[in-house]
Amino acid sequence: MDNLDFTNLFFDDDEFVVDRPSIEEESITFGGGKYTSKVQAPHYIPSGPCPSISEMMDTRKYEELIKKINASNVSDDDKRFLRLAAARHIVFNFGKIANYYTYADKELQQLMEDSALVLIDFNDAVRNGFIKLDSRIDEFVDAQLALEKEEKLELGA
Amino acid sequence: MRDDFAVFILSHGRADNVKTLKSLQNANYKGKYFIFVDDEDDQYDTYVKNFGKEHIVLFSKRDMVGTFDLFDNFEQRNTVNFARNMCFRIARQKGIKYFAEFDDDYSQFTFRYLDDPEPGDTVPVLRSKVIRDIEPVFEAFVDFLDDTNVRCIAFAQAGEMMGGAKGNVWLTHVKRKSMNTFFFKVTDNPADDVWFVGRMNDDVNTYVRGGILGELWFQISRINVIQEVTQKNNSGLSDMYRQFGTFNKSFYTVMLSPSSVKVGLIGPSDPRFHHSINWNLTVPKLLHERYKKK
Repeated sequence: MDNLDFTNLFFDDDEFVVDRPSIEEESITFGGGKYTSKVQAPHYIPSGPCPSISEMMDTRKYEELIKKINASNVSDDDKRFLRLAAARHIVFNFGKIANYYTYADKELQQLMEDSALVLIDFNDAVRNGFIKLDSRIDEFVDAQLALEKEEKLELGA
Repeated sequence: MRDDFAVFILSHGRADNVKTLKSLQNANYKGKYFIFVDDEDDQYDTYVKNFGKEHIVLFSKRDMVGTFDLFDNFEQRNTVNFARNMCFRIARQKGIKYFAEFDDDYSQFTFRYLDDPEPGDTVPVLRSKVIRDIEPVFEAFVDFLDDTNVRCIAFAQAGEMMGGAKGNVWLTHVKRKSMNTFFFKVTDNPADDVWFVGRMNDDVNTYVRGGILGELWFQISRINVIQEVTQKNNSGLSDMYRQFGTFNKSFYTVMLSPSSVKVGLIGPSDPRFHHSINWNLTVPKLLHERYKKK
């Protein structure tokens, strides 16, 4: 165990906070200043030229597996199963896919939505939900801080 | 607190130390609560004695075997997802429309706010205070679930708030994940119920799978939960961690989404294995309706 080299397994410092999106990558909209308390819906803002199909996904691992499956001696049923399972290794870039969506025609857009390749915030329901939630938390924080201030004053008196 | 809301606390072997309930009471929570205890817990009688039978939900883990995907064929049943997957069932039985699903080891609920910068600095200070009156927060979360089609919303973990006002979690505010403090809405359709999958890392597996399929799972950074340090508790999942470490745990989510989840090491000293999710490769983006062609 002591001889194993784990150097390349360490995440960057940023990765200490795991599961988090990159701010730049997500193009998350912020209200107010950079350090605002305001919570807003994480709407993605598409930008840039229309990506090509190959830019939206990385199929290298998938193709490698398909080659092996096709060259194998397993039954046709097993091959069919393995080919479908190999699709789990296709890497989809949802940022690029969202960009592609904005250039798509109505029919393609609908099919992309049906497949959950993008999510549409109809009637701004999520955005407005966050605005309302944020406002409620503002009221809550103000009330909590006021309570503390009042108690401090009472203690002082 | 509204009558159709309850807090579900999932506990095992800690009848004398349900920290979450104490923390809720310290935060002036006066609403309904139920402590979920399984029939393999030898402290059931103590739970009843300490909290009253009306607050205890007894369920059978054995009966749950085979009702959801554990991702493995181990024999153990000492993981929390058996209890998690009882929550929607019990909510329906009790007529609960909204519930918060908590573990039993939360020592504090806190809120974050920005204060003036320190002298000579320009960046506001991100401060934290213990919540004294938590019901308005719960009410706001419930209304959020009603106003949106969001599947789940949760508090951030205090440990994620590194970097203060300049930290990534504060700056992004909203993340596409939910852990520890799950707020759910029970719809009229049982097919909508959430099933936590995978024996270990079940919370991560579940929000990743939901996200892949287009569900919205969120956490916000303004409200935090503080819990005991993972892998050092004396019951429940910690047995699994001691047995397998976090290496196996993290790989359950890789099995679920091999195209977007990897495993690596975190921690400056005493590093441990942890999953890392590339969100850009995992969940579809949420777009404003203006991008949809009419």
